[in-house]
Amino acid sequence: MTTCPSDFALEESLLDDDSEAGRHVATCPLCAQRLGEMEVQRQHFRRVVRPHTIDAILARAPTTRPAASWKVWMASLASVSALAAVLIVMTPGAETRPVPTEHAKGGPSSQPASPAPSPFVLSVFAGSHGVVHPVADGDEIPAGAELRFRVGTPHACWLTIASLDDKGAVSHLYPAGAPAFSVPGGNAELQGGALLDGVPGAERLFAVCTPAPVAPEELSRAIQSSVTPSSMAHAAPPLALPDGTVQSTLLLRKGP
Amino acid sequence: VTPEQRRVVELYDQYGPVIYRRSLKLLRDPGLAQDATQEVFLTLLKEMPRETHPRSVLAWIFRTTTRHCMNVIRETGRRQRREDQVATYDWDLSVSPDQETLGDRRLAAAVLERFDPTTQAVAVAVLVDGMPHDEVARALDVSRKTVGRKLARFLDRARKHLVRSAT
Repeated sequence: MTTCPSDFALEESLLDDDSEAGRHVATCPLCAQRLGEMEVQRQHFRRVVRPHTIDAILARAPTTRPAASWKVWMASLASVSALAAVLIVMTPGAETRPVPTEHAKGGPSSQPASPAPSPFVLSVFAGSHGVVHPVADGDEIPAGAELRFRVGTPHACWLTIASLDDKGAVSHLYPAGAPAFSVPGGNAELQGGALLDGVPGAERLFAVCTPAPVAPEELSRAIQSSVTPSSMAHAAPPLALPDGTVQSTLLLRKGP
Repeated sequence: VTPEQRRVVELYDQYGPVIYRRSLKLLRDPGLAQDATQEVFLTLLKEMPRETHPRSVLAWIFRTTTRHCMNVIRETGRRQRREDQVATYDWDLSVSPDQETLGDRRLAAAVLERFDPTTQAVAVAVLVDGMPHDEVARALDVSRKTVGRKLARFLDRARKHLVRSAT
């Protein structure tokens, strides 16, 4: 493709960055600028349009459930997720401690007679240059990689994903435009994701799912009082958050 | 929040920005685009086949949002009774098959409303979006031949309309 793609083709490229338009965009400053404008409009949607319309949408949405629900397609992630890239698994509240991956996946428990609460599972996938792969704790990934998330929660709760960088700054990663995102109990692939800042260095992700949305300031305080840049490479203690919170953390090393 | 509502919210987060971008481009008015986004998304919930691949959803959004926005423009024009308040476009008729130019954007918008929804969508896709015919055919789920035929008809009638208006 020698000419710049249409808006329609650009939208298609967002679904599949290995498309012809996606390959063109990767080398075209003008199209990169257009994608930036599209992102600005997406942010406007999240900040302005969505809050003003979501109530009416929910009130007027068809009440009859289809015979089969929509299938959320994440084609590039589906095959990867089959590898069950379960990274960090933790149980609720004060008893936060790692649980074996096999348990999280439904495998045999060491204490089958006393069923423990279902764990909180966070899976992270990094995409870069059209390649998507699961990320394990301590993995090095491209500094500008896009992250996608899958979570498994024991019950419905409010999810927030934030990060602490090696300069001590806390960033809100997910969801964009809102403090928290309501997730049902069970496994869910999260729509959208987060784009890393492109700056090499360590970054620790914190995924928390709280009974009620937690204010960004409260989460930032909890992170900064629990972990410091000098200690972030070590196992992080649970964040001090309300009872019923389930949480998970993961260390990323952003490479050049 | 029920599971069904959560599903709706997830779909809105996924496709709402796509609808909004398209609406904003055609309507040039954030308020109208917001209303259009809401209406088109509700239509999507009602009409889209289940388990539809995102590429098909994208094409559906392109078609339906274009048609909806054309209706909004028509209704807006009727209400206002003033042609200069009808949304205008960056028409680029140099990409038309016979290299015609219309010139007057407002008149072009007025001409557009005389055609059926598919022809409107073809004209907007080619003349406003600058999309190649095969891409328009894919987005509108019609043949490439249909795209060419409808575009030629649109240009022919638009030209005659312009001649009549000029005289």
